[in-house]
Amino acid sequence: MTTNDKSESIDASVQKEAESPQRRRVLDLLQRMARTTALGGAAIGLAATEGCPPFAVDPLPPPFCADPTRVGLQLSMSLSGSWVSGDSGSVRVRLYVSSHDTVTFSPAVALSGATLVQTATTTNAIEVLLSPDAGAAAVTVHISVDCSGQVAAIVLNLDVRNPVLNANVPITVVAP
Amino acid sequence: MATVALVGPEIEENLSLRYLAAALSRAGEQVEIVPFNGPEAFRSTLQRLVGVGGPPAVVAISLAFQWRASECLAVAVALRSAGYRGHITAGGHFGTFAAAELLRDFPELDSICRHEAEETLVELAHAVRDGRPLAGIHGLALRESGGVVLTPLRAPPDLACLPWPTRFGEPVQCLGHRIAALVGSRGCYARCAFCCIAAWHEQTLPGKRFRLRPVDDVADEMAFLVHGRCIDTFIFHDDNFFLPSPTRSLERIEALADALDARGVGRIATVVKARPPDVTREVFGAMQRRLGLARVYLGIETDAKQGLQTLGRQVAQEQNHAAMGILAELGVYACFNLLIFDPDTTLDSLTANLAFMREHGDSPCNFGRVELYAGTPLLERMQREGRCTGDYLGWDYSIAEPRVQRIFELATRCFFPRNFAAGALANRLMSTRFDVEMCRHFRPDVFQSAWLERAKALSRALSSDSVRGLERIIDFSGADAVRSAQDDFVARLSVKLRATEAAVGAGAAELEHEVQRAADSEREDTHPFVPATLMTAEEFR
Repeated sequence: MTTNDKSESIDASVQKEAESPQRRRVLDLLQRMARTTALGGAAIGLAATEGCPPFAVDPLPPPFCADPTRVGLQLSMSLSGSWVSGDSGSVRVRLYVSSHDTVTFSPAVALSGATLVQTATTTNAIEVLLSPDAGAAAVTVHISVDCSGQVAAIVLNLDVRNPVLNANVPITVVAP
Repeated sequence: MATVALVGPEIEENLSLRYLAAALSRAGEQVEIVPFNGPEAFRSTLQRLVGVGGPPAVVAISLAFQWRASECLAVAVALRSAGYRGHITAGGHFGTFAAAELLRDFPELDSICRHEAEETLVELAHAVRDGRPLAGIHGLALRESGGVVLTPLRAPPDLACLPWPTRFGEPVQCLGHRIAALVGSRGCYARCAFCCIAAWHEQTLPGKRFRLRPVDDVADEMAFLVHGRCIDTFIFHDDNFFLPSPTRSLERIEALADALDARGVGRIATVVKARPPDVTREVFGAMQRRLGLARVYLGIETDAKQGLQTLGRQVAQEQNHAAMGILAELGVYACFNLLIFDPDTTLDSLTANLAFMREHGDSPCNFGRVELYAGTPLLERMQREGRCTGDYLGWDYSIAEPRVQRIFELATRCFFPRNFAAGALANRLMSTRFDVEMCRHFRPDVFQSAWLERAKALSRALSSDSVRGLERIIDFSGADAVRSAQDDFVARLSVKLRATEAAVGAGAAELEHEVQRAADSEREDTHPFVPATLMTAEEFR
């Protein structure tokens, strides 16, 4: 195609009768974005490359099939976490991650800075009980979630320096 | 609100929006850039568009990035739902190539500005304001009589005549040095099969694909940025800073340096992008001596023979290695990305790229998969071969060799946080090293060579760990494991990868802090003239 003087009509009839799947996906995404709360994607830290340092020229985009942001998966997640009592006076962290989408959480949770005590998955949700390592300041939790065949990683960084044994006091999630 | 609102990412100075803003301003339109940096900004972006001051007559949405297209289209839909009745247009690489499909599926859009749109958007804004028909404007895609009409393409704008991109707000800084993005050219002389930039420029400039700004115009803009906005660090976003001939590259570098000298521009730092064949001792020696080269992003992309062919790189493995060797010899900071997965990747290809990562571990790098972008020869090939899944909003594919596809899937799960998540360490290390290089460049009085060695060691540690992790995945992929075994493997490997990231990340933070502290000490004023307020180009003139 080069510059020329003629307009070109192309076969792309405006689709009025039925909503295309592309449009349907955008409308779904719109709904998710519209109800985003402060705890949404920002806290869960799934946002992709826009968070890169400003001097990383040409940051690689994630593979399309694995990008949770493309369907707004991060926006459908909610998270709660608190300190609970463990054995022999120890303290543990109980995390509850859920989605209002149809997703499957993998029970194989990976941790750094903590030991996994147990996981329990239910419909569209996972509960993780973990025991921070002695002296650890932060714990990284890595959870795999499958949304319609698209497997994405949720990474949570927890500040575990100051345990508060109160179910009403949420644990601090810091940006990854 | 202005008469034209430009909506798009503004994580750093978005040159495409700012060139459009400058063209509109010069043509007498009131223009405002409304940043939309991600889903979290959705509501605030909408509020700004329909909020105080009345809505703009035209909303122009950037659809440059295919992976962000859905979010941006959602803005258009939400605007209409909120009662906006003005003209909504869109543009950018993706918008151009997918114009017909977008107008078919999204009646909220009134038009698409195709290709470089400085002139098209100005004519569109004037026509909307005056209530004139749009069909006579070249470079548009319009809905008409139930179908879509592409008006004739226009010749790309003369770069010598375009107003400089609008500058406003406080520039970003590194170690107290103000940074500006700019371009000295548009397009790239190469024609890689996966690159939408080459495909885009091939449509309007067949066979050439790149244009240069006159050296004096670039030097004038840089002098304004130095004297009017206290900039001393320039990130050239040229798709490729260099010309196909080293002799011509050298001539342009020397001419630009002379022109900057003549305008009283003092010590500066530059960041550029290059292809491996562009790297010669003479050219990069001149970049160091004359233009203060602080970093080159080297487009390696792949070091596998098969990969070089699939991606249409027209580069030989020997050129990749030679380029890295010359840059190391000159002491130039180079970083690169590797597309280790492509539609034809074999185990041998993977092995070749892992060897490259290991051999050049001192340089920060990231790795991933080649994606299928609208308009590219690679997408066309995959569609011809019936190998694409998905649709125009995002194409996907499986790697031909099933075992390599398994490796890709496992690698993506294990390495997502390291390579792609917000704050991904692979990207952060590029920034850490940049801090060190900026200190080396601007503050040799406080610079410690040990910092450079530490930055290299951090990159080496991460690259080596990535290679080891990928090798474990390759070993595991030999058995066709059931899903639960894969999950278990991913979890176990992820723990190790996250632990390395924690250690390397802590080392990077410590190094960044030390460099920052040293640079903050007894800072010398590097600017010959510091105005009380930052200037616009008009004020400077």
